[in-house]
Amino acid sequence: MTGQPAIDRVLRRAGREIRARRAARGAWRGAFWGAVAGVAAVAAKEWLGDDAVVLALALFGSAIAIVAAVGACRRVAPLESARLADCAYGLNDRLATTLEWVSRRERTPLTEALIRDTAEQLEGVRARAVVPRTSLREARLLPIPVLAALALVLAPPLTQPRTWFGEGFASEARAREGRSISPLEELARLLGADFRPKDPFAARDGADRREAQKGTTAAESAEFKDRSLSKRASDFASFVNKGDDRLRLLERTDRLPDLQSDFATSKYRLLLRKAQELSSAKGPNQLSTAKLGQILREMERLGRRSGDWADDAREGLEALEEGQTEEAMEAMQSALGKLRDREERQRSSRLLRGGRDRQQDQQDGRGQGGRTRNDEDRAGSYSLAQSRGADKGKPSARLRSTPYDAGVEGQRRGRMPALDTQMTGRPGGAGLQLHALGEIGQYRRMMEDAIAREQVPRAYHDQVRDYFKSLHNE
Amino acid sequence: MSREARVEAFISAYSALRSEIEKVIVGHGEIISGVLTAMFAGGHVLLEGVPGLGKTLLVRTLAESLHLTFSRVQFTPDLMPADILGTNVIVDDDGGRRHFQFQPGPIFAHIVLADEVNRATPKTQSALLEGMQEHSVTVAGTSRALPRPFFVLATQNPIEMEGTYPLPEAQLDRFFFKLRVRYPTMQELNAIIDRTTQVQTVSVERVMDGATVLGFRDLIREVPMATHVRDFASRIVMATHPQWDGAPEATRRYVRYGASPRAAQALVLGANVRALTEGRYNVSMEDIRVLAAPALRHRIILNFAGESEGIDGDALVARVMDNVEGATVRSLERVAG
Repeated sequence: MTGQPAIDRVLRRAGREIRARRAARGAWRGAFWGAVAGVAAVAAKEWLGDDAVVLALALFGSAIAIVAAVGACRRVAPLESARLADCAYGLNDRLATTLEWVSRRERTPLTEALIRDTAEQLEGVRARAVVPRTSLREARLLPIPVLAALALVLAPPLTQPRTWFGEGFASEARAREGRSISPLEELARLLGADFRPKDPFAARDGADRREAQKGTTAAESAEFKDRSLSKRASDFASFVNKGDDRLRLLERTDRLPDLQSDFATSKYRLLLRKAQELSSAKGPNQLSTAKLGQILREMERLGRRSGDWADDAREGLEALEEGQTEEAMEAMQSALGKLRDREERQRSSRLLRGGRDRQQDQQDGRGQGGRTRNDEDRAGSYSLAQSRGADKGKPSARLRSTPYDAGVEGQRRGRMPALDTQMTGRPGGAGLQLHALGEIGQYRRMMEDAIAREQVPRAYHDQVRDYFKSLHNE
Repeated sequence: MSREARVEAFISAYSALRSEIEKVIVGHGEIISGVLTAMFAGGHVLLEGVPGLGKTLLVRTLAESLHLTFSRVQFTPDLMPADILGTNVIVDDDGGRRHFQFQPGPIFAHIVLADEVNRATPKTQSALLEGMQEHSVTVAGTSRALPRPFFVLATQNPIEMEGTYPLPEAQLDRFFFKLRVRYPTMQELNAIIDRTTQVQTVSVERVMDGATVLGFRDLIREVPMATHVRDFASRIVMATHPQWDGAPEATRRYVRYGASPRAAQALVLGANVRALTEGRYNVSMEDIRVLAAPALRHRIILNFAGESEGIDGDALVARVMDNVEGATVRSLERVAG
């Protein structure tokens, strides 16, 4: 304090008034928010019962008491009191300047005169409120929650929702989705590829094309079906940078998809899905006989090639021609069961290399390089594929032996992880065919480089090498 | 003499000087206050107004009220720096020998009236720069001190732009205040007519000398100022800078360069003088508020948007003041809970 009784008295009075005003404002704020909390308590009276009103009153009262106490106990700086007193009494900052300069060690010669002048000014000041009275927003809005709480007390209890919104949305989303995420989808998501449902006809055409392409390559060679790889620079660095998740995926070899066949777009899978959609129709009136016939015909065609459900499909077709829809449906269900069993068997083979072809070969008792039944089928489905009876041998040797195939030879240039592809061979009427082996070789070299530069965690070196080894047809 | 007695002496001298000027000048109370405030604070004043409003008369009356030397320079386009500063001339002494002798120019006076300062070329205008800031001039390699107190009052006409050379920003910044002389009111005009068209002589007495003025300059630097008042002045100056985080929207839109630190010095020193003349021993925020416009209006450089929209410096300062005062009021409200 200043040692001047008049100044000290005004400062003490101002401090008390500020505390009282803070407490009052805090009480109004506490009343408002306490009333809001009380509304929430009363709204939940179905759960709380008679205790809701008591709880609301307790919240209301305790909020007032707590916030008011906090306001009253907050420290009031003397300088702040002085500034408010200056404003209230029209002292033109005399009090605040005096208070500040009194505490300074180096005073100007006019400081003493200032102290005396301030004391004289305060003698003539009539005591009045230091803090101007203003209406708080919370005080103006207080009737709203209070009235709402009273209305809720008098009204019957609100019924609570049976299920939470989150669960409802989640179950709805699950129902809408109707399927779990397959490993191929997961891999595609991790690779950042566009994995949207494709047009069924386009998918079937694409599958046919790929199968035809497969016929021209070695039976057990891994194959990249995306031909756009040949048009863009290989970006193995991004694979390595983003590769942690994919490498983790590699640890779960049982969940790895068969890279040789695209289950999402295979005709079997397509047929399964269509048949399931048809069988999920709610009544016979909603059943499309044309669609049923189409599915049965397709089943019969596929069954003739590589399945044991052709008879069922044929019976279904006959029943459909006689107008017996229910019998046709039963026949389709039977064929569908056999088709599903076949899919399950193939999925459970868990062979990364060779996949179902290898398994099929083993079942048929043929060795490597032998022609499979699928090869024969593919020979007729893709006119550009040249079917050769002889063993195609190792891909690298074959690439150099035939002038009709084109290989990719990668050459690393500069420091950027990009490759210039140099096409060799004659681009004949069969079109340009790019072989995965060249691509895999490039990726393998880049993988070795990346491992040498320690971009791949050491613990994953062996797994990455094994993976590429499995892709390469030794 | 005690400090309080010195303050009393200052107040009485100030009042006497003001009343002597008001014997001649009708109205223009703010202009007289501004001129006297700048003089006691040690600054220079730029008076801007259309012809015939009594700018030159005000300065002449001030000079006549003080025991100080006075010179008037009418700035013209052919005025040369040597015409203001002075030059070396060859003189014959009693022995018949010739030597150079410095012939001081009109700047060597306590009060210098630079009439229509914007009519001279920038080279001549800049001859005033060193004298205004350093209180000394350099002629032929020799630095010569100007008499103390040294007080420059410059006038300029804001409407006649043809054949004029607007003052560069560096020179404008040297002026403590820029005061705008406005038209008199009806009553003031009647009083002017009565005083100037009838046969009556008004004699102005000299009420103060140079030493007294210098003594009062020391006194006003002793006026205490609270920290929050100083912060208020600093915030006002900073709010004229568009780069400052707390600058108002008007500053960001219309200002290219804000006020310099000289503006803050002028604000505080002027507020010190005003506090004493109001009979207070401390500077208040009200003093800063009153003097913000004369101290800042010529130190804010508008950008193209401001120039093209005809933004007035005073309006801009008013917006800045509103912004800063609003922040101050809000801080006080927070104190009250």
